[in-house]
Amino acid sequence: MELQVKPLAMAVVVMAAISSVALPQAVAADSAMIEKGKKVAFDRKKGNCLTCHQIAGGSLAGNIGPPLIAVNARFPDRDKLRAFIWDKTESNPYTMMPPFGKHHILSESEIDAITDFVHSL
Amino acid sequence: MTMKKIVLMALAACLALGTTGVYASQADDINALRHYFKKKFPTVPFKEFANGSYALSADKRINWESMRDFPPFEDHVAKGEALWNKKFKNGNSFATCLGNDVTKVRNRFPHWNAKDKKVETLEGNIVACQKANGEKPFGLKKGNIAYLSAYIASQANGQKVNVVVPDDKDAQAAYEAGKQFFYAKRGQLNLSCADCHVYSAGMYARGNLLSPVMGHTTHFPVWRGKWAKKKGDGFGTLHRRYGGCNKQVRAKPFKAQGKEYSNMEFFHASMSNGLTIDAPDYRE
Amino acid sequence: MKKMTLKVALLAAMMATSGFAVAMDEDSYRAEHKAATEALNKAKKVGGEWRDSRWKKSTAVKVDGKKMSYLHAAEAYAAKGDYKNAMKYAGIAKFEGEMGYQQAMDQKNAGPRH
Repeated sequence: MELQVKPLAMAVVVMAAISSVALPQAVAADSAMIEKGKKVAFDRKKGNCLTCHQIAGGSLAGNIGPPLIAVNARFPDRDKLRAFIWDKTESNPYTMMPPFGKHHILSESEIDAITDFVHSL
Repeated sequence: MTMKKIVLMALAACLALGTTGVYASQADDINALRHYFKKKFPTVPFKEFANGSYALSADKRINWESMRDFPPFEDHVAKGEALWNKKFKNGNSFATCLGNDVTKVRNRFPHWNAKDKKVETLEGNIVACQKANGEKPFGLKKGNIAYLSAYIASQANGQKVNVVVPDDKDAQAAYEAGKQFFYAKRGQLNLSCADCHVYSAGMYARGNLLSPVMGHTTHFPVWRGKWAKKKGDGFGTLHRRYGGCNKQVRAKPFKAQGKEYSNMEFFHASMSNGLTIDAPDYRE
Repeated sequence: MKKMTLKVALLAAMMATSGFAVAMDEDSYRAEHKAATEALNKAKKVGGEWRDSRWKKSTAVKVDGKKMSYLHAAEAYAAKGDYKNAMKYAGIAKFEGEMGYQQAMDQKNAGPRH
């Protein structure tokens, strides 16, 4: 288990470097929202995404969920990504991921911001 | 051997099995879980599961072993021994309720009380004993109850957990209720005990390595680094831990020694059947 | 003189309507508080209450430097006459009661799937 962690962390860093080079326009478009989303995502009392996901720029991440790399490529449809964050139990009732929107863990605007941030990864 | 004799012997064997009261669902659950963890952690021997996440990570194990070299809970066990030996005002003591041989106490719990139709736990009986003898009962989560429980458990070290669910509809219902509690998602975060300690066992939540449920109850009460940072002395009971878990998923915790947690302990401890008691212990 | 009476009359009218508005706010808060309590009692019956709805050790909301649950926050604001915030927190408690009940019902038959 532990052996997998380090290569994944490296992959996160590498992918983040690539995406920031490849997609400067997309990043520039909503940079304020993305910045807000990053804050909410990393806040332990809000999204606390690092508990389960490795994310570029975050430390001490867990590995219960998949690392958030190349999200843009995996979820070209932003609305689908937002729906996952809002309530992942809709598509998988056994998921570990808390239903952030359905259970009001985050506000709608916080979910918008997180979606933009994760979509930019 | 005649055919008749063989048949009689087989019949006797069946009867013997029947009277030991093995509840099929409990046996199935234990087997399924052992099989599941064997597949998940093929290199970890069964007996190692008593050591929780320290069986799964060499790094974490080094820390744990160094904590065990100078255990932070030796004084607590000594306090527990003094409590065991102390006489009540009426001349009785805990031995009056729990039995004179302290090595034979821990492993009788949890068990089904057919008369009162409820699960009895060690800590529940400690407090019941105090009440029956006109003593002021201990708190249920930390302090004296944890010291005494730790001393009693330490005297059973080396014995194997063997929780029996008897052939009794109500006992089986209590076990099933405990199982449902363990597997049900709850709280604002919508997480079950099983989400972390079955399906994600061995994974990291931040820096915490999630421990497999099998082996959880072998080493309680525990001294936890996390608890030592809060009020108190780091020591706590199994039901204190249950409350902490519920709070973390943002569910309202239930009362220690209440029906919900006692039923859950009946199931939860069953999942450690066959593993060796080694208590108290250090946990992150 | 005429002007004065007009002013007094206007002031009286304003006071009356604002008093009326407060009474309205108080009524709708009381209804919301009752609905929240009922929803939470229903959730409690099935073991589905959440941590911050009305647990006395909850630290979810800070009112005047004191941390408390949503329902307690609603009561604290109502006691100060701040029915806007009282409504808001009673509403959160009600929502949590409804969701907690629903969740417990959905999980009624939870069991191993390994």
